[in-house]
Amino acid sequence: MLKRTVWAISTVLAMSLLAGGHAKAQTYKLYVNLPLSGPWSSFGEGMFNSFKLAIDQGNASGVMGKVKLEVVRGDNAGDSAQAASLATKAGADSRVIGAFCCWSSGLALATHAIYNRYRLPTILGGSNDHRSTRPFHKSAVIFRNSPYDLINMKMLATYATNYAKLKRIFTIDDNTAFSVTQVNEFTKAAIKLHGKGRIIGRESVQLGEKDFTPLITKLKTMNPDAVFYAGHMVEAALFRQQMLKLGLKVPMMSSGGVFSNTYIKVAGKASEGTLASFWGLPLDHYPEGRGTAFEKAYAAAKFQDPYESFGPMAHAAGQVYVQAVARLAKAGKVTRKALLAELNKGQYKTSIGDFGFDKHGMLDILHIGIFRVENAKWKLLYRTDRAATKFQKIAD
Amino acid sequence: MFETWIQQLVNSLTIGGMYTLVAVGFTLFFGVLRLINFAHGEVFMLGGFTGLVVAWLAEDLGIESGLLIIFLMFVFSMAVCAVIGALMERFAYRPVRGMPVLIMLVTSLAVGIVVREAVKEFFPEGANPHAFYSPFKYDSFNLGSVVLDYTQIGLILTSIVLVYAVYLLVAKTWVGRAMRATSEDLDAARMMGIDVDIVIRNTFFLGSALGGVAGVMNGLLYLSIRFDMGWVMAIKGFTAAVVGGLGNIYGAMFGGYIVAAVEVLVVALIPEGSRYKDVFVFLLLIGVLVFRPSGLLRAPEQKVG
Repeated sequence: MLKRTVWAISTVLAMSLLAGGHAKAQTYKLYVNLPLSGPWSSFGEGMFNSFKLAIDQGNASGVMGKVKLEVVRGDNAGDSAQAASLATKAGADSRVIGAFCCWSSGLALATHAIYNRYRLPTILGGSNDHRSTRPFHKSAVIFRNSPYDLINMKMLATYATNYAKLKRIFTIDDNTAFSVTQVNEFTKAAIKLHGKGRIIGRESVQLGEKDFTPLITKLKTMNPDAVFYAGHMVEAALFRQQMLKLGLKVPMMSSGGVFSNTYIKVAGKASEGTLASFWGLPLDHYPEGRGTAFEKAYAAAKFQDPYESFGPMAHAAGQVYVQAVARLAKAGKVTRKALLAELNKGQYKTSIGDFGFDKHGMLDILHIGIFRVENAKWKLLYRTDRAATKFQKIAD
Repeated sequence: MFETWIQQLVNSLTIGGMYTLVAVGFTLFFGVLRLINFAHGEVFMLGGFTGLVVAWLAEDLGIESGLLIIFLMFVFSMAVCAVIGALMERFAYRPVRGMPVLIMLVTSLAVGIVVREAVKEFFPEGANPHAFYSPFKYDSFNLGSVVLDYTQIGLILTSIVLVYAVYLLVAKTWVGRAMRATSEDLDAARMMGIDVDIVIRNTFFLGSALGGVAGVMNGLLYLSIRFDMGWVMAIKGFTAAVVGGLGNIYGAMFGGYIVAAVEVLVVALIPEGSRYKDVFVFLLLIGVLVFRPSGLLRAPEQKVG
């Protein structure tokens, strides 16, 4: 009996020592919570790869001293319950010091309180719905590294009504939190600018729907001079093709769910002329060639999937973590609490520019670009200043 | 206004034709095996991907005739889907045959997930949508202000011809007689000398080949395919089959067109109706299940089972 007890105690001690040895290696985890399967996986895979690329670069550079960061691949499959479960798992793991979530606004809304409960610093990639961030909720651990829809939609409405002079705009959402809020905010902004007359109607479609011909046939009878499709790229590509086939040859406006090279590939010739407002700029517009350097590094890493439109922001989020952890490692205290404090006060040098987070966790560069598909490429027409207060014309 | 309604009729017939092609598969599986085979949606998806690969290969081989490429797409998609369907039956459904319906249903969902995720993981850029090949991409024409294209016409005709061919096969041939006998009473059919394993395998072969046709048709019509496109189509095809009468071949077609007509009417007549079209379709489904559970078309003599 005694012998068995001694063995048991020895085993436990040995395990503890091993665990202690692991701690001395000073490896901390960053938990990714993205749609890596399901309908949004193309965006999720690109973001995951870009985020991991930044962490790998950080580890390889030695900037964090003895500290290493490990990326945990969490697939929420675009499902709120799954995202919440991953957030709980990340929060409960003491080796996890930060998270990167969620791309979808609905998933960000479903998880912010969980991250807050565990005081786990979290950077949102995408998740354009303003309700995902403070001050619209009280979760103090949430940061975002792209502007939200209140800014984005205000600028799109300004472009559509003041610059493109559109007078009869029909709006369409796809019933997701992201899309519904985009249409709500676009409509509010357009009404604020010009009264109610500019928005002539609204419809909702479903994710996964393929045939929009009954809706487009109905739209034709209403004579819009533009359609704002605030949904996601696969359905948008089909919608655009069917618009043109049925002879509804008016501009289609869109935003971050559609702004993607995959949209152009899928919609083919029909994509020409599609407009998009996006909370980012072409890579060559970012300072000191950092955007193009990211592109080269991504290509060299030979990932299977493209980085997609959110890749640069995901890479920037990884760079923020590396730089923040490097500062903490220097001070000898790498904890969630210290990381949270660092994110609240630090300035970061990233692929998309130098920025810090304001008191609500929002990054302080708010670049919005208005793009149009020309010759199978997204061409930048207008871009805003850093504070997104006015447009600068780039091309006709 | 009149032309708008004619256009909506064309839209409705096109959508209905697509639902019909998927619903026929559901009805065959249910008729013979009492199986609601949700993996059929993924077979439909595989049909689209096979067609795309065939088109890529044909272009690489320098085949220029669009019609020949489309013919090859259909032939290979049907063959691949038929074999996949038969393999599914052999390795997933046969081991659970005779178990409670729920076990078979869960098995079909699991098989579907495996197929879907395999395409996502192993097809090049599998997570992304892919543009589909079509020589008729932008060849639509107008009758007045009504817009039509060749693919729509092809789809509507294909759905009608295939449904009739399947009906003839089931009602008029010895293969169909064996299917009907197996459906009626599996043990009795076995005692009468019918090899029920072969009959069930043939049913999967046939139903899955039809899924392949539907997958290619879907790609040709909507010009893009994606790994997760099967689920929504499976739900719609299943709904169509139930509305028309599961196990009834003509019922699948009738259900397909009824479901499509409901969708189009709701969108066309109700302000912001596109938001509610699925609500109305599923209300119809519930209504049918409550008041006429064997479907709107009851014709036992045409039933597979």
